[in-house]
Amino acid sequence: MAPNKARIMLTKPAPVKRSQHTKNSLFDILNMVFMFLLMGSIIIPYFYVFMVSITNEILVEHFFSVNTRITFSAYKNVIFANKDFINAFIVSTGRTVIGTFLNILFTCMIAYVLSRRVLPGKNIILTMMVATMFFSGGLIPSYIINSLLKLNDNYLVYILPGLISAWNAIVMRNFFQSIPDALEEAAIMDGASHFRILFSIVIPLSMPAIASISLFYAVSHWNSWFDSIIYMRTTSKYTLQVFLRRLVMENANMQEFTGDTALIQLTPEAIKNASIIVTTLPIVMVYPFLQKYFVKGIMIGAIKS
Amino acid sequence: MKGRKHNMSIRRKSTSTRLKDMGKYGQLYILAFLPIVYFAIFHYMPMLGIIIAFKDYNPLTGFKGIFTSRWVGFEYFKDFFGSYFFSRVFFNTIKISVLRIVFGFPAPIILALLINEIRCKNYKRIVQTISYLPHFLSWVIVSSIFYIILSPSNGFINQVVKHLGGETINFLGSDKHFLGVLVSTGIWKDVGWSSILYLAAISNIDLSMYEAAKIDGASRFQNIWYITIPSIVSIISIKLILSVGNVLNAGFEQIFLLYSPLVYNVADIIDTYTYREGLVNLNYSFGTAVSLTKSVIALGLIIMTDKATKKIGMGGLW
Repeated sequence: MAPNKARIMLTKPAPVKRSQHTKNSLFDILNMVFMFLLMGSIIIPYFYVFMVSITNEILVEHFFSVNTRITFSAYKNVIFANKDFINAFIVSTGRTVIGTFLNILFTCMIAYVLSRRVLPGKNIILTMMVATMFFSGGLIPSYIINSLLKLNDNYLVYILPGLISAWNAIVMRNFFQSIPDALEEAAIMDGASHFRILFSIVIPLSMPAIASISLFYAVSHWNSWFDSIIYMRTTSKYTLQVFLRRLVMENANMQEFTGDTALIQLTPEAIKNASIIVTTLPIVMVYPFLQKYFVKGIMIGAIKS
Repeated sequence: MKGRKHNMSIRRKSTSTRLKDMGKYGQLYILAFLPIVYFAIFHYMPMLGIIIAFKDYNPLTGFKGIFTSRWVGFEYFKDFFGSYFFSRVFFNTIKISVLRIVFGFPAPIILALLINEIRCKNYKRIVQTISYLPHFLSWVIVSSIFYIILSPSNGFINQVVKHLGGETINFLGSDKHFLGVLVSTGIWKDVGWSSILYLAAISNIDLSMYEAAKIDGASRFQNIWYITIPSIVSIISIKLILSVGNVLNAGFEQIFLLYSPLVYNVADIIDTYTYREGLVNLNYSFGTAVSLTKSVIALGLIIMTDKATKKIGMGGLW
């Protein structure tokens, strides 16, 4: 069963190897060094960005010099002093929370229907849904349709076009199918409606799958920026990612940070780097704890397909 | 609905039973209704909208215009193939994709094989956790980080270069270096996450094969070469087919966020060109024609590669 294999994969190396050699060979040492360098390549850029944000310097040798003081005022400015940042943060958070909730709701609805054993027309619906994974209108026709639906400059464009991901719906459907029929039959005997069965039985029993899929949807919302760029006209409706990009690449809003209202003379670099760190903070903080759900989600999806 | 039991007998269904069935199914249809409407509006209507590639569509004519604009046949397709930038854009797309496949396709496989060889359980877990992380950062964040790190005069990398006595390099602005940065940052971001699939497949390998090999005195490398790799060949071929089918995509998000007019001649791909000419410049019909061309070619490639891998015996997609 996939969930058990997930646990084995993450916690045990292939057992047979341990009995082959008792010492680490040269290969093992090189491997560990290689992994160390790999991790370093991931951590060092991040660390550099962090150091710039707290020391207000950009040259590496200045980070550790005696004259440099560590200060978090870049963060104070970014988070608390700038209305546009707070705005964008709220937009992104709202989008992630509301969007993910609706994603899950509708995905579960269609997954439940498609997981029923007998339903006239089920295969037609399934094929219709799967087809959307391979064919799509493309950027421009979608843009045109969305504009005609008055989704331009409208918060709904963050939620509606991506409401259900066919792939996630299929993963969810497979999970629902693995729930024993006896439970549902008992409920039907007791006169439960499908709505009841879905919300009181199937969903509570599918929490692991729902957790994983919610995470995929949530991360996708949090990281979205392209739809923000092409549909939004007012800057207050931009997501946090767009705000970040405009700040880093185009120096937008910079005046507010480093101008006369600033408490300490902060360099634009410190501001930019602090913004990057703040934007990544939710994901980096939440990620280690939820890693297992992400991995399980991928494996449920991949192995079943 | 309450109190109705399953009708278990074999007799032919009477009308009242059929109506009861409809009642039961009715709830399911109600549940499916909104999702189906969603797919119809947001996925199938745009598919319908593809016909504007063959028409002279004016955005101001709105929805009706999709159907009432005049037919121009393949005019926009000819425009695209004949345009000044066609060969550049097409060539760049293929070149970048090929680079990504040559360097980026084996990377997660090799990483998976190496991670699988790590002895220490905790070290393995740490490596996995850290290497998966960049996948979850958006390209906006990753491109911003690299924009800062690769900054021409004072970026971190250039500081290192200066220390080693070299000249500063304008990574993102020079067409000699841009592609290298593109492919390597692409790998950096996704190699960990992509390796999960292969690790999962490796963990499914029957352990008795390794035991048999041990009895025969196989070395670790022989284990990997003769057992591990052949066992994951079918997954590799599926992913390879998908990569080849994807060859005209070349990673729009990443390129869009990292490129600039300075590097258009190596970095402009079909999608970025479509975005600028088709969307921003309001040439909707033209842009749609370009996208459609891309999709058709991609489909052809998938089918060809599928047939090819079946011929060499690696198994196909279907």
